[in-house]
Amino acid sequence: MSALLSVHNLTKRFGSTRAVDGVSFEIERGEILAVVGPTGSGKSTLFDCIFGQTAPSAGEVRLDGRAITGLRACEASRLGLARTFQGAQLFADLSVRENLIAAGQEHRGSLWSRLVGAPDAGLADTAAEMTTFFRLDGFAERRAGRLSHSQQKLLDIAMAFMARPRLVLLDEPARGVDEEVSAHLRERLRAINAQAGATFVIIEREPDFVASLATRMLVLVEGRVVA
Amino acid sequence: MNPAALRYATAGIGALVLIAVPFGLTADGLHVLTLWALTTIAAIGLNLTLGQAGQVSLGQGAFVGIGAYLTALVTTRGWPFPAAYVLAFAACCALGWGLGYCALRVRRPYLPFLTLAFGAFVFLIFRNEEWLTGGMYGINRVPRPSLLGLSLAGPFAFYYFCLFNLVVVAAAVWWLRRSPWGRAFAALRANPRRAEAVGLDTRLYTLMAIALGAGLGGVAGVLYAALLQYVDPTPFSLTMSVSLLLMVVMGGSGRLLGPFLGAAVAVVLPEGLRFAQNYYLFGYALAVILLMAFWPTGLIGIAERLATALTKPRAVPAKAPR
Repeated sequence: MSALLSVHNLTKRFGSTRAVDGVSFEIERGEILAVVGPTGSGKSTLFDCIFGQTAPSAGEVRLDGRAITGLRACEASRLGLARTFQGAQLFADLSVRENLIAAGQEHRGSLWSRLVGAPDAGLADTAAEMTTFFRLDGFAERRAGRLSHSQQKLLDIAMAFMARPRLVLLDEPARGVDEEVSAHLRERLRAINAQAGATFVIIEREPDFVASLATRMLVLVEGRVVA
Repeated sequence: MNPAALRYATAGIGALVLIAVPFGLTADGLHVLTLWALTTIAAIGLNLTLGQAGQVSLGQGAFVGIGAYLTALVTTRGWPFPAAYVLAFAACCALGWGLGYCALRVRRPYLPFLTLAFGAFVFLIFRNEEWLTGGMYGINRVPRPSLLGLSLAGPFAFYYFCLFNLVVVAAAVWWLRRSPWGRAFAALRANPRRAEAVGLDTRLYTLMAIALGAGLGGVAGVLYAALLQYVDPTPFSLTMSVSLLLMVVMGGSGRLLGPFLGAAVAVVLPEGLRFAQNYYLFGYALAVILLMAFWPTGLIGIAERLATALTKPRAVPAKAPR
């Protein structure tokens, strides 16, 4: 069986700068891979290239054996890839509940059924479970833009799991959150990994957050894998 | 009273007023009110494009014109009125889709320029292609519709017909907004990068919003031609497009009731303020500038804030993680 995600010689150049320089790795189902490196080492650009939000200059990405290089992010998402962002990227004017439903609805039914079907796209229960799972109870109807930073990070991560993805790319999930939330988050990710067999690639600047979580670690410096 | 109940009550009272008010109006007043109803339909369409997809269109006047001319062309040749609806809606949707497709191939800010050029192009066709459009003389004797054998030619009947159209369009848009499509539009407007990351085809939804918005412009044009029973190029210049854009912005971009208020300020209020002459335009421009500077959510946003302040109980803050 092929690896769940296979990245081969991925390169992204901005002018003469190589933000990502010939990165190759594979990740098996159920694995948690950590990618650590200092600021500017190309970690987020690597995610952008894998997810289709930046076109790579060279290289190939395969998800479950299927080439996804050059696909748009929405297409990659429908194939079972999900991601979070370094700074929480939410729909600020929508409520927490609406954010969660929005994150899952495009994976349910056809375009037509989403027009004439239930307003919650049948995701109200899943959204409620997610709010409980990520300790956002009591905030379901609050606008996402009015949440605290830690809550926004939790919502950002919860949204990534709404469509039950096969692989989640987590971009600095613990950035800017306090130790208590960080520990809670680590425990939640571990639980999802154990219960659902979900596969993660986690980017972090410091290895502390991922040290006890990851099954494997890559170190990225100036766009290259050095360890 | 909770905010939702207040909204429904306001909408109900507004509907009753719109049903009752013609009985106290002169023929001119009724004409203005009918014009408001169909202008609101065009503004609702533009509100989909601007308020939902976040795309600025300067071509809504051209779509109204296309709808009006298509109606004039087919109904004066004996085609039934419903055919004009279908034709105008379909043609404007298709043109809106095409324009949006071209604009999105480059970059977002190009839609205003593209629609501006499209508007100028359409206006030139209306004015110069005399064999088709009658040129500056336009097309006369556009018939008004009939419904189940009942003539809607009279001003009262036609006003209620336009009001019915407005209710149907508003209900359809209300349905759309509360459906997952509406949530997708809201997500697209709020954060396109995240929207794409959660599987939302931002290009498709943007094109749908532009096309539907243009289609409703076409529907407004159908009613416009039947109201005046005459079409000529003059009203469908850039002025109409800019005016519709200002209505949406002033009423409250992205808000369901925004176009109703915006169109009322632009169409009905000038009739009541005729004594002010051109000072009205000065006041209107100043109001738009002030709204943009201090209340970008428009008149409906101000009304909502007032309603919230009046109805909201004092909230006890929930304990949040730091």
